[in-house]
Amino acid sequence: MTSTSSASIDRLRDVFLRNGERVFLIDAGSGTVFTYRELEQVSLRLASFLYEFGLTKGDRVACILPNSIEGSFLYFACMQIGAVIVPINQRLRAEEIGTLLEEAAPKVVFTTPFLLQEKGSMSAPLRKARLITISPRLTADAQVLHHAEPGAVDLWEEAEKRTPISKRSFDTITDADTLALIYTSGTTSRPKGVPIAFGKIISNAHTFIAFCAIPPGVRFLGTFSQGYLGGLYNTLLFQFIAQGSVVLDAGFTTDVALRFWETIQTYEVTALWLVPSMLSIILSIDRGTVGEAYAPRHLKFVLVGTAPLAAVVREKFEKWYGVALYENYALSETLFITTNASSLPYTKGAGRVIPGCGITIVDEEGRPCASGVSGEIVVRSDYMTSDYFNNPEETTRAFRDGAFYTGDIGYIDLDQYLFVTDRKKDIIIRGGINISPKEIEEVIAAVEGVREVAVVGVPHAFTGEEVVAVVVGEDNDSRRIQEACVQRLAPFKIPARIHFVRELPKTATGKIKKHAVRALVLDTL
Amino acid sequence: MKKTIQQKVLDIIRDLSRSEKKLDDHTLLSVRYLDEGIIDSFALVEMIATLEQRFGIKFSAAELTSQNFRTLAGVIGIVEHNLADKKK
Repeated sequence: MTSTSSASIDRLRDVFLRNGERVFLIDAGSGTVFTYRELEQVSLRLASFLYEFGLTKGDRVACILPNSIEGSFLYFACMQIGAVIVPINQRLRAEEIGTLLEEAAPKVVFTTPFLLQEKGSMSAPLRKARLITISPRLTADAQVLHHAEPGAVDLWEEAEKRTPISKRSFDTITDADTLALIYTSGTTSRPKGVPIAFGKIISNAHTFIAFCAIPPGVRFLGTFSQGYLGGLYNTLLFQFIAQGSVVLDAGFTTDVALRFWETIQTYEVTALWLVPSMLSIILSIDRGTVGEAYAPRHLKFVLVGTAPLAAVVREKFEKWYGVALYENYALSETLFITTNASSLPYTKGAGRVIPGCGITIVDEEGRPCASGVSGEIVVRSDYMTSDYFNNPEETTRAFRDGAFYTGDIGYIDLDQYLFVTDRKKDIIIRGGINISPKEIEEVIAAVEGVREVAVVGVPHAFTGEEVVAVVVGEDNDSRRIQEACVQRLAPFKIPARIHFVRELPKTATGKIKKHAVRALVLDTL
Repeated sequence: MKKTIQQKVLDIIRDLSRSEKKLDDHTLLSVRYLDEGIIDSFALVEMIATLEQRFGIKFSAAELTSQNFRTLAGVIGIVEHNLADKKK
């Protein structure tokens, strides 16, 4: 093995070396299987393709793609040359994608012809980048297959035409180099870019895997969208470091939900990554016996994250399918912080901190809270990023004294388990995806006849939280507001309900009291 | 005028959809609504629950995973079939 100064690269190289002929990726749509060796060979060939666009270490590559084997190989090709992966959710509206492209300023953008046509108005920021349209063949996303475009670049053909780049290109990458730039919705309408370094994410995965005692060979079902960190980290990189395999499905679409247990049984899946809303959906639509027969015998790990899991959902799922759920706590800025694991004495809350992480709970004045007392969760960890990309204001607000102020409220019990109970930051988590209320408020505020608006999240059985807009208007015309939202916001951000009120509850200084607005909505349910 | 089963089902889908597409009857009946993103997985659950509650039926596992369930014309057929079974 070639020795480099980068522990993370040595680890990646080692995984390729140890697992050559083992299966790494399976396309849930076609059943096509790829080994670690094929992953390495194809990604090295694709790296040669990327070089032709002048891409080198540190250049950003935006990927607006559906879940696909081609997209996965592209991510690994970027890693081979140290190009920074910028995943962008294909479900966002053109304007939202345009904003992210302006922020990230990628050198190259990969998308599909269908998406390009659908998101026509994102073309302005695209002119600054080299655009490559690909038409993935190996995807379980039915919508992509129905709109396949033969004229687009075929990555398999491009890979076939080229010789693999030297494996020594890895030697130029260090632990401090950025592997991905992840955009996350925050408390402002401007999305925040979180740069994630090779060293941080790979050591975080390695530590988490060791803490949970996940052995090599575990097979995960991948249903997180590759347009988010979850689709890159939890669905690809994590399994790679774990020396396991992934059955790559579409994002958690209606189709995936309906054939959930059948897919798991067909591909002999032994581990799942889920978000709480997925659990609720599965429980609600499962009318068969495949899941309850398969899960207790074959599922070894069911990991749950991104939003707090309701006790009632946990109990129902564990009882129905006879498996233990391991909840964890992670953020884009910090990666995994805590988790439950079979090695711990109990399973409760979001578990305990993994090695390399520390949590302090602080009160309004920044003083540490005693056990069991709620306050803001403040993280110090070996894996956290130190700033937001080109955003000094948000960096100063959230990163202070070497710590990350999460904006989440929680407490640590006497057994050192973390419980996340509330949020200090103004954010909505719908189906595991962070949504900025401010972004929606800006769209609604621009609608004629709207005087004031407050957008809040209210509890919902399946999505965790649902988006509700409370509006002070001149003519109470919800149709105009709905139309503006449909035009400018991704479907998952569009308010499920619009309430009209005569005035919004405010503080003495005129600030809208979101908790009171939320209570007002709940009163009307 | 009393609404037909078809109209009732299509109205439920329109209520649940967040698609920017124009959802006239012809579009809804001709596309594979699950694949085309007319509704998301959260709305699917609500659609199933609403249909079951509104028509007093219960879909079976086979019906939910059938090819017929992938088009709204198929869903309407399944609802009608369940309603006919109830009358027997």
